[in-house]
Amino acid sequence: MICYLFSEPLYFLFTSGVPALLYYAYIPTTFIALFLGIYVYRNGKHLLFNKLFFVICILFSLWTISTLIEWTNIHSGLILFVWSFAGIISGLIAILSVYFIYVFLEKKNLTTSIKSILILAISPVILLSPTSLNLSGFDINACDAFKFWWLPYKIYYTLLGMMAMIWIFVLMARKYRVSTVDMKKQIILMGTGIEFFLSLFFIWTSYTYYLTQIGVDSDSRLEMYGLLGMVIFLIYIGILMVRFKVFNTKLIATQALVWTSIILISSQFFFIQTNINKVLTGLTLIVFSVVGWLIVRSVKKEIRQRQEIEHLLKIKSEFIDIVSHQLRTPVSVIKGMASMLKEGDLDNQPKEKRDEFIAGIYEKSEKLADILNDILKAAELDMDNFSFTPANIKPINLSQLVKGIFDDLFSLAQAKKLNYQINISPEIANLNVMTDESFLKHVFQNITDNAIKYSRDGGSTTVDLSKEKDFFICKIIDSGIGIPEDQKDRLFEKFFRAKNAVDVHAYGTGLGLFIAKKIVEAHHGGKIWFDSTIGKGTTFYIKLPIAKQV
Amino acid sequence: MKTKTFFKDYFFSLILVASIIVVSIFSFYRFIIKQDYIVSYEGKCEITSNNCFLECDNDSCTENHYYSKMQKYAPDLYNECGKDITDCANANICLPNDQKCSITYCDPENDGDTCKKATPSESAILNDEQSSSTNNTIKL
Repeated sequence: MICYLFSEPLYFLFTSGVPALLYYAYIPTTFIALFLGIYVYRNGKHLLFNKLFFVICILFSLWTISTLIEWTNIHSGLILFVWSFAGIISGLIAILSVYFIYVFLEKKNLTTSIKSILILAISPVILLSPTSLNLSGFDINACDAFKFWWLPYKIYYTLLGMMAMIWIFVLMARKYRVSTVDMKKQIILMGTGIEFFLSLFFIWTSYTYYLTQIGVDSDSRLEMYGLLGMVIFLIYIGILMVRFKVFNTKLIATQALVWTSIILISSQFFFIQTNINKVLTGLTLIVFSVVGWLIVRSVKKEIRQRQEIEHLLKIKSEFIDIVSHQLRTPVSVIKGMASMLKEGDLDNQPKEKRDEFIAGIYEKSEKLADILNDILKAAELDMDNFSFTPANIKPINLSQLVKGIFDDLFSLAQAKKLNYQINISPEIANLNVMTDESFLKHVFQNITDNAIKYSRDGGSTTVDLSKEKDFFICKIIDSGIGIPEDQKDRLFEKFFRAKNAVDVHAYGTGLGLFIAKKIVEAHHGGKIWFDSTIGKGTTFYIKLPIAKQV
Repeated sequence: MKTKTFFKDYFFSLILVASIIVVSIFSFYRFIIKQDYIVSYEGKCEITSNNCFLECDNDSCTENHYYSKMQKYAPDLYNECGKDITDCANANICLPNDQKCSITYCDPENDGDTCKKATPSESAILNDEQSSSTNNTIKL
């Protein structure tokens, strides 16, 4: 059946029978919501919080598009079909808003039992949507669907929305009391935004629908303005993204402003009529887009430079920290011991005692030399295209090199009563790697030494050398303290040491892994990576190319 | 193993998506294919014989029209009139084969001033006017 309020719409959406303001209000809001949702999702595909925001934006966009279709179309079957989803979309927005706020506040996923409650709450809305309890017929004169006489379906999903609002308020209020000042600000922004959105979305639409039903309002056009809550919510989300970096995005205020302005200027095409206005708006849009792009590019460049400076300052401070702690301690010990020898304080002591002091000075000097070597090596390797000096590259038997280092560190492992093992696949016994031996030795020495150092007494350390196609694969497995999840990304950075490593062993420059990575990657196809579970241990993998046999 | 983890992580999402797909198919079948719903509209009403609903066509109510409230089952209406019922005489009556059909006239006790039935003198004038007019709507 067709109703005859409007003419047949173009592309299911555009007809001259509805107010232009409807398009101006709905289409830009939909675009901004979609743009923000996609932007947030692309910047953190793995984050649940980002995924939930993306889904809410998609649902909101579906709601606006389906509402536009309901308003502008004249075919009863199509209108009823699209209208039948209104409850599902609204119900999903309600439960996902609770889920979204929970993840925002608690930084963790909902428990299975709460998820089950939410699914149970939404299931009647989904299951009853195609039935007459939702929509029973079509009014040709008003071009509207009509509903079961006492509206149980609509009342149910509206109540679901109101329950969501109360639930969110309780969650926010409870968290607010125990939050930091920064988090409190975020809670206020997020809370106000989402409550505005839900209240206009559920309460306003129900109230205007009620006014229409009792005849106070001639049609349900006021219901359209329920989407304005989303505009407020998106503005608050924008502030949270720019100011507090929620969603782990790097959206800058300039970028947000430029994109919003472009969408708003573009949306004017939906209601301007004259050609001259269309041309002028088109020109404004082009000029603004170009200028906006240039501004965003320049601001991004400035931010990048600032971040680089901040990074360099951080490295500098870490370097000073290393120098002040790692160098000063052995120097002080050497100075103290040498001074005692010089002043003759040990003249009356037995020879063994003096030898002990001399051995101490020697040991600390070795440590100092190690630190200086690390710093010099790091400086040498800290170039974009580091490569070995050609004259120093020779075929080296990797099995022998790894076995040699394993044996050198045996006493260290024995002191910790470790189950210390090496497995070398027989097929690689005669295979070589083209390398600078002194550099490569440093890699295996450093990682095996770390594996022993960070393994618990009585634990295990295993070195496993095998081949995969044209590469050696060396696994160095320890039963140590593991690497904290939030510090894994920084492990190969210069001067970086994981916090739990510093707690266990105060001594260390934080250069070993940085040097190892640079050396391994200087080999063609060379790669170093790791798997680690906190408290259980770490496995380092080193992949090196097998030299072609002549 | 990966499949198992995927199902564990996305169990609830999968239930939701699957149920929404199923009900979408049902809705599509009901509203688009089977057209299983009631259609409501303003039917023709003769004030000479029935109490009709009165609706003003302008603010000063100098022009108005009368109607009865019609409800018909969409497939019946489609078979009798096609997509557009504007000039379809069968849309204004209930036929014996109609599965669901109702005509509601105005009830002066409940609907009050919105009801109108012609007095005998008005009926006589209207009958004269009607015989010379082919208009579908009846105006006073």
